[in-house]
Amino acid sequence: MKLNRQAVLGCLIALSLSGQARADSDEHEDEHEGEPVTTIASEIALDHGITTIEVGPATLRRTTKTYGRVVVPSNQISHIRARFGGLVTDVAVDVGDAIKAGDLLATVEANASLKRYQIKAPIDGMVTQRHANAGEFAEDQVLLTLVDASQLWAELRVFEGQLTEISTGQPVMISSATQSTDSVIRTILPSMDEHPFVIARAQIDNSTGAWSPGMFVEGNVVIEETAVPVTIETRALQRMGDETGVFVRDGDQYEFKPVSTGRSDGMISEVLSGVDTGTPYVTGNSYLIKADIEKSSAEHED
Amino acid sequence: MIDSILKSAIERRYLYVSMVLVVIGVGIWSYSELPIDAVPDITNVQVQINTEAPGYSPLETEQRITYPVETVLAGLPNLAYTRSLSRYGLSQVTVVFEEGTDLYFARTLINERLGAISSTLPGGLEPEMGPISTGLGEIFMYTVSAEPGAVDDAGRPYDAVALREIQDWIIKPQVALVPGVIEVNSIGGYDKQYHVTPFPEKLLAHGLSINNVSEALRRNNSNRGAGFVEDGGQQILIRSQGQLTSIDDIEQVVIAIPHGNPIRVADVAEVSIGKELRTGAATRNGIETVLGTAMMLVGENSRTVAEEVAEKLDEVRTSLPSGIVLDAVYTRTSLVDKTVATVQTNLLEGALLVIVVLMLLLGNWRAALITAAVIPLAMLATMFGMVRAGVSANLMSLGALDFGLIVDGAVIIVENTTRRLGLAQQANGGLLALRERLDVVYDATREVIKPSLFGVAIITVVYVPIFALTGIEGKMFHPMAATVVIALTAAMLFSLTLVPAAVALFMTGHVSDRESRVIQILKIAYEPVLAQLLKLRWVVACGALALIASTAWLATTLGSEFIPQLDEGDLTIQAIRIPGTGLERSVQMQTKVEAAIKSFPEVETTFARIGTAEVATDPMPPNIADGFVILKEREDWPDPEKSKSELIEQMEGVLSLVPGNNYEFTQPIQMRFNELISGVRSDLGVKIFGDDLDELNRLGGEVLRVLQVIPGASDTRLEQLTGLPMMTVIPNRIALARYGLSIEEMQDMVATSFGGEEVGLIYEGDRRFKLAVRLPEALRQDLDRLGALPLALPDGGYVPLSEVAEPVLAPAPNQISRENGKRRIVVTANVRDRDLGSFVAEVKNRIASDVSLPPGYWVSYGGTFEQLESASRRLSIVVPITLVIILALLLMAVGNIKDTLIIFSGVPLALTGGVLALWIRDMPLSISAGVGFIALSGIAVLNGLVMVSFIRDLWLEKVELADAVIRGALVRLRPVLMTALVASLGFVPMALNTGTGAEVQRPLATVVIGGIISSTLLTLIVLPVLFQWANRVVRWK
Repeated sequence: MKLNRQAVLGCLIALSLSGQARADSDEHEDEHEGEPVTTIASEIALDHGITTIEVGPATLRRTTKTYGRVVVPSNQISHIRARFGGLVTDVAVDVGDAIKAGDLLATVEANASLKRYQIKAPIDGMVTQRHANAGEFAEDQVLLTLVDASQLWAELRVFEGQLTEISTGQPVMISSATQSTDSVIRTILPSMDEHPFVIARAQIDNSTGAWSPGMFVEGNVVIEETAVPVTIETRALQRMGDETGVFVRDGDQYEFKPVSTGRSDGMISEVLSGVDTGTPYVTGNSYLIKADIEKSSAEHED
Repeated sequence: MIDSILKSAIERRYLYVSMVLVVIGVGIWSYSELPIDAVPDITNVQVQINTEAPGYSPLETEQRITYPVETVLAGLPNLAYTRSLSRYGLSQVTVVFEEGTDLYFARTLINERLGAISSTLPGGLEPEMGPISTGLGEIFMYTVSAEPGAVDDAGRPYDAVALREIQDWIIKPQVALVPGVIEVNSIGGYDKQYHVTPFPEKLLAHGLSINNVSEALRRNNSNRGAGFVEDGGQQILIRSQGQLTSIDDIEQVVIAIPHGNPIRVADVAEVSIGKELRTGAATRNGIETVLGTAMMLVGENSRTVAEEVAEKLDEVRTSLPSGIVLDAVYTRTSLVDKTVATVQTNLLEGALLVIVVLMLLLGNWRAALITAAVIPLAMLATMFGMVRAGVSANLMSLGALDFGLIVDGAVIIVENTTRRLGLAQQANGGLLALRERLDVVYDATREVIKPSLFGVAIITVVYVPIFALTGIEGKMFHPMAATVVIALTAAMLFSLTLVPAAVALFMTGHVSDRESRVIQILKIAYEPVLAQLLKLRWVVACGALALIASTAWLATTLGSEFIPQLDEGDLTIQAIRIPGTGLERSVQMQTKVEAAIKSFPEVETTFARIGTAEVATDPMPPNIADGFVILKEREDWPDPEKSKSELIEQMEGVLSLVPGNNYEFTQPIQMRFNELISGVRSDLGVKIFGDDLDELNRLGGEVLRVLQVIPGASDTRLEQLTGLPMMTVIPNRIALARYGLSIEEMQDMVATSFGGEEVGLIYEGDRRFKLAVRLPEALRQDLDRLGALPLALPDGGYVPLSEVAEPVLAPAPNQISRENGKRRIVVTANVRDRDLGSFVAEVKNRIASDVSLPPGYWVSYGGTFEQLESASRRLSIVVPITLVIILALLLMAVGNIKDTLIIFSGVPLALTGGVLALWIRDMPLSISAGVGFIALSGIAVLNGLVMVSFIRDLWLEKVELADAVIRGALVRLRPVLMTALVASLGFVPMALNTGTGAEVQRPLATVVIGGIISSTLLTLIVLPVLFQWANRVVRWK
């Protein structure tokens, strides 16, 4: 009797204790490993912003960002000097005056001949500097500086990593803090004084006068623009394990399909293999599908 | 000694009875001091050390913070173990001390050690200890929101930043003043910050770097005192004022003056009120909100504190801007009130039932009242004892209090004195003289005092094994055992002193010797049955054995659980998303989850904490949300009959349709305990320690494969260490050198651009807000362009980041867990359909043979199997010792082995009833039920003792054995029935109650009631049979 009681009591307590373990283990039951598939009813998908489009052709527009400054090309700057040394008798223009080629700028009386001769504007432009006044002696210093700012150039710095992709003829969008304009890379110059970059030059039409030399600009160079037959939206791509792919929709079912991608412009990616044209895949909120498929492995740990 | 106490009690009966007033006074005072809560606090002695490290990745957090903190704590006195986790921006080291360590002492030690390493930690990082609170600490939560259409002074609608500002600077400082509140934790909204966001191209245009902006702001934002001068005897203080106070001020700060042209902040950057990079958010009913949690100081009275917080909130409301709504969403008061009400009803109804039974069976109202008076007095004395012993009043500690049991001793004494007084009056033919009456009382008491004291002592002793439980079980059940022991001891003292004194004082009137009608009828029925059964002793003995055998089998078929889970009335639904899910995405997903929850008509409100709060008491990553679901009162449900598990099932159904979430259903307190105690919660945890994370992961995978094929293994799981997508910027040292940049300069620029840099504070009165520099949001978000980030060169030029460093996106450690100062990974498994011991042994063997561990890596085993092992080891020692003590006590009481064993036979017989009762009510075995069985053994022994000692006394008076057995059994019918009835009826309300918390107490009460019924029936039948059988060959000389 004594043994019996002891055994029963001991056994009851041991059983009670082991109950703790069993009660705790009843979490996470619906674990379905393997198939990267999930089912979401269409109205729920709609409610959660899950949207689908089809794999199809698109134009890939790859760009790269460069920075640089606006400069006046040297052929549009004219530093006016007196041809023969002498006395400046008259200056016809002042700083800020717009002038045409052939306009009178100043009159100088040559020392040698004591004849007066006229200095005329060689280019269209604007007087930006004036170092001469009537009565002053002109020798070989610059009397006036004319600048033609109707056409400016952006000199963009192209670093090593971008160099292979940039070439002349590529469209570029040049923008400052307040404005932007489209242009084309005209020339590529090696950098002076051994800087580790080259200069890509693009012309800016400044007929409105909104641009000014010295401005700091950003240039988005379109390095590639091609029509690609099979593309997907880049935001649709999700990583599952070691693979990258998209979620292909079949009715209410979404399946992960690994995709190998080629070129990409950040918005659109070229598909090399994995999905065919016309396949519906998830673009909007694709992360939610990934979250739903992988959720069984998610647990609280701390 | 007992005799002299009895004598003095009867002689000085006035004095003794007036002592009652003292007991009442002390008891009432104790009640006001007694901490009241719903459940016992099972948190271990632990201190959390949190270090916030904005921008630090898990690897850096571990290397720079967690490791030094852990190292400096090694070797603290009473240290049990440390565990830590390093996450993005947070290092948390949890230091667990041995049980019984004084928490304040432990914190002082830690503080001292932390002081020593403050200089070795990266600048500006400050390890802080978590609030002095426990798992029961989160007693009150409220949300701050704006009414639709409400606008601030400037006419703008309140946004998440404004709401958080109100919480941090208006509400929190006031709530924190409530006595007993140790911390007010905020989560949700955004900390208001002043943001300076420079545009890279504008900076480049001026040849500036983002760091020039930080530097300028840092140097142009302070007030400084400059001493004083005395001017004509008057002291004049001098101070120079330079603090920035507004957006305008900030915009005017000059960064540099190249060529004499000052460049102001406004020229290169935008200045605005911005949002911090937050680590946590809160939602309510599908809308973002700000959530405040009041945490209670350890050892405070949760109901009082929660009530005071609620009152304080009423005050706070008057000081809020109009249109701001402050809602209390969770308060502990309601739970505690409901459980207290349940316990009160149980105790009160139990006490009333006991009194009624006493009236009926004693047939004398004075006697009944005297016995019943022991109930409140014992309760008051118990409360005094609980306060002294530091036991709080809660469902568990009050869960085993049975007034029937408590008054057992008194019942026996009062019953006997009543009977004897009756007999004496009959003999005397009228009322007794005072002296005679006192003598009769004295004799009658003395006659039964020994069995009654022994009985109570035995019931007390059976609770001793409970004190051998350790860990969580210990914390749950020690208070229960302590309370019962205190109550029984008090009752024992009263039956020795107060009861005889009161009987002597009050039982002056006529006492009928005739027993009440109920007893008379029972006796008429009992006598022939007993006489018959005495002849059929074989049948009786075999029947009893068969009964025991069949219930033992039945017991194995019952399910089992640890402790019936307290139904807290509210739910928590943890929504868990895949690691790497961003906070804002998590918030979006949570709003959908909450919309689904709110669609249930039973739900009053629902709210959630996502990620980590300001004070990282529960450091969750952003992919996890703790959702609270506050349910309406049952009356307001469309179907008040619907069970909670049904509701949970329906919710699971609806929520499983919301994509991307995994759910864990728990309850607020339960969840908090889980989080704090944490550790390994499965049956077996294989911990692999080592240095290299990849290697640990690989070994973990190997161990997992080994575990999976071992028979009995289920729910095998490998701790997830990786999975956090991380963009690592790997510098190209040569390229950097070519551009004249150092790695630090590069890192500074990257960190400031994306993470932002705190460059000072903006003061608005008491309120202070961080001033931060970082890239404009649109640029920060564009990860594809990370490589295009222009870095300013010392000569004024720039270079794109991609020229000097390579950004690599790859999964990285999600969090790094460490234990006792070493990295570890855990593989967990539960065991089904197999005994744990052999499973663990096989796992150990297989891992030793199949997994080859490289040098520097080792394995250790943990999990609940350890607790099970240690508990069964302890119990296998303590239970036999207890049995020996009971036997020894019995032997002292009855004086011979044979009787002792006969009495002891009542124990298994009592257990049969308990098991049957559980089976009938479809309840699983639990520790609560186990405690019921323990109590039952004591009561069974008490019954047997009363019966056997009386039969033997009769037999000693040379009555024929059979006669003695029958007569003794008949005379003892009344006390046996009375003690049994009061003890079982005392528990009836507890067994039947359906209020909040009743489920915790129900199994114990059920076992005791069932057991007492069977034990009483069997005591009345089997015991006399056995006694006669055992003694049939002995002829008394």
